[in-house]
Amino acid sequence: MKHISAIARRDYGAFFRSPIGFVVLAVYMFLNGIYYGGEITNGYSDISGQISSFEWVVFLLLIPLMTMRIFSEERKIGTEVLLLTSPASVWEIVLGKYAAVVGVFLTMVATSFLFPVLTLAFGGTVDAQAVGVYLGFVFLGAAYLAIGIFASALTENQVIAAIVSVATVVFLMLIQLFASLMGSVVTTVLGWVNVFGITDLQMSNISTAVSDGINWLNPMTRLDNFAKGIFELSPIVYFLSLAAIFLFLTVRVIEKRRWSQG
Amino acid sequence: MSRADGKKDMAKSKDTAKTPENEVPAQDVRAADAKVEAFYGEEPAAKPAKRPKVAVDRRARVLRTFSVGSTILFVAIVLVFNILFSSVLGDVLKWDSSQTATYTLDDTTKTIVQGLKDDIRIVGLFERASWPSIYQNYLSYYSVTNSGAQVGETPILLDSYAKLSGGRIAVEYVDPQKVPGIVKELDPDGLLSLSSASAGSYVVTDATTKKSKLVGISEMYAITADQSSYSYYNAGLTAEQAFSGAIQYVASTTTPVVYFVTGHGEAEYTTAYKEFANILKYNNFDTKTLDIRTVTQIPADAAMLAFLEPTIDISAVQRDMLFSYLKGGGRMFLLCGYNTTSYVQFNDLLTEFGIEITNDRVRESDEGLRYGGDPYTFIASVPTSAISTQSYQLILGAARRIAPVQTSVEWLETDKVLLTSAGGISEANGDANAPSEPGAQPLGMSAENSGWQTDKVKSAKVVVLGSSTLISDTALSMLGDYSLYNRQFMYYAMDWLTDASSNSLYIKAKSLPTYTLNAGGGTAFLVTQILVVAVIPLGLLVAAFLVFRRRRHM
Repeated sequence: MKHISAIARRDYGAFFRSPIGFVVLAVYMFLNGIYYGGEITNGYSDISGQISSFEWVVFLLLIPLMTMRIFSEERKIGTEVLLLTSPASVWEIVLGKYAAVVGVFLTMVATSFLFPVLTLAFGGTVDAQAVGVYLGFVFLGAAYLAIGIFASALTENQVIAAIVSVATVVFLMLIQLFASLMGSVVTTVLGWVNVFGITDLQMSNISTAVSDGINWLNPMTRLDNFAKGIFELSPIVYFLSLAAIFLFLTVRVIEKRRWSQG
Repeated sequence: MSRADGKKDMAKSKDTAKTPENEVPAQDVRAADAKVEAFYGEEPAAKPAKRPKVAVDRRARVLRTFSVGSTILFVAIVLVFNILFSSVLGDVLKWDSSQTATYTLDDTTKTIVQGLKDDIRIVGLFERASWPSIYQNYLSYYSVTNSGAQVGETPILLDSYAKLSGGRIAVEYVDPQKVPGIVKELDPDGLLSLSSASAGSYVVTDATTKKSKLVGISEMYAITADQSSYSYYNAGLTAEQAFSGAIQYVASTTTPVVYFVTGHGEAEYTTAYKEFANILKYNNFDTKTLDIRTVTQIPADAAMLAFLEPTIDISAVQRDMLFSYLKGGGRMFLLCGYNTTSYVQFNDLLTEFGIEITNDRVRESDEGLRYGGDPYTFIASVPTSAISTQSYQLILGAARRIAPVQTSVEWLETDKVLLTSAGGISEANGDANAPSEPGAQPLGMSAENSGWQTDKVKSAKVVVLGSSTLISDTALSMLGDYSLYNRQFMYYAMDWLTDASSNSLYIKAKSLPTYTLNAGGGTAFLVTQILVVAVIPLGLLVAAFLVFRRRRHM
């Protein structure tokens, strides 16, 4: 724990000792500002709608920007070896860096609390739905941060790390299309080889089950429910699981590199 | 390259390295020599030992296997955990966080759903994933200004029904384009006209009673107009009313009929009063038309007779027929806004109920209560009465005074159910130059006559309302938020008139969340805009630049 904390503190500080931390905050606040400014012109402020409306920009642009340098820069400048030969285990290193980047993300989210405060000051409403949307956003963001860290561990090139991170997030966002496509494929195939006399309705049910099964993996669909006024714990458990899987993969990647270096 | 060449190269590189500025310490050179010897061996040396290489390969293989195996195992464990969590606790650990409790079912619905004895099947005639686009298309059709897109998803509401029913209600989604047979299966006789049903429609069926009902998307949202901006908006969610009513309808073994009387220039309920007909449907009534000129008695299955804007009075024969019907515990609803018709025969009949339909037109003198500045369209009051346990306001127009007739018989109970403000004025025979003194003018009356009531015969009930625009589709589409109150009034009126569970069936329409800012204003908003769009982001960029400059020199 001591090691995790030390690494997290160091990396969190490093983030704001470079311009990137402030640039990320500036972009995030600008996006929020544009949306909020537009809304209050009409005497209106829906915080949950605000968060939901450009969360994809955060996931696709800001999170890769935040995570791309986490491991790849260490490799590039040669400090990874120092880190790996330090008393901290690989798990502690990964968790420390993850905690740092989650801290930066939470700082970013915290800056946007200005908008609910302004809304309340203007006599508006910040309801439970907005709180739910914030929580969903934070937990899915944490999952995507883990993906970004994994991508960063794969290569010493920050651009490639960012591209891998973006590609993975895009893939996860497009699962719904893939699920729908697979549902159609299943229907078509069953139609061709229908030796069991499956009815149209049964085929439709199988197709729906297949696409629902694939879409179950879609984080964005799960996040949507928060914006629709449903707060549920299973998506949060899923987002945490997604983060755990990618942190585990990150550890494995670093372990592999460590052993292969002899 | 031979091993001898290699040794020479190494020796050469050692010589090259011996420069003053990068001279290598002697012990390092000796260590390097030892490594070279170990690698190439002495000439002629034995082949390099393979043992260490084998050990490394084996270790790498073991590590690789462990790495892949542990990854697969970890992912599998996480996946299984998630599946179990979702299926066991997913529905339990789920809350309605919407501002207006959109997905929380009303107590009335809970009573209906938990009391189900039959299995109910609700089939959405579309793919569930396509709901958002169907909803948006529906709103686009009306150019609705407030979509409320983030709340009020009917599929989520129906999940609540399924969860509450404990397995009695099954909700499924079948696209008729992909499964054409579903139309025939759900509606074998073509009574529901499913082939022409609007996008987003559901069919509610009960296999035991063999009854089914179509619930269209227009029944799920109260789209109404904003008079100030001449645009349509979504005033609330009425999906729960529609589905609970449909479930109750299909699950009930008997279906009483409300007859809309024709033959006196009445409005057509299927085109001008669809909303009103829906209220009756939700209360488990079938609706039919009846031309009383062609019958000698009112059908026995008539739960109520409804006259919508008759422009011709009934005949004496028809009056007697109606009187017989009412004496037998019949129920009658009469909607007669202001027009030039005098209802002599109707009044003769209504004398038994202490009600008179006058020829007086009503206007509102209080300008604050006028709608759009029109003195003949105004906000009226619904006092507590037989049909309403609470008082509220609604909007109506083209109103006629419905007056109580003085009577002291104990078997008759009358109530004024609709009143103007104290500034109401009635114009005798519609003459604006013959106004009454300002006062609360009665615009609607209810009456219950128990004089003919026996063990087998119910009391007779009548409701007469003096405004046609109260519940017409055109009016409801123009009344904005007030349309919900007009609906509510009619719902309770029908509830009382038909003895439908003593007001227990009304499910309030759910309003959409409101995010209006109630304080601040032009300057405050402008300053805030500048702050959040320019000052804060620019401040952060300046900070980034300062950090960049400082780091550049490090």
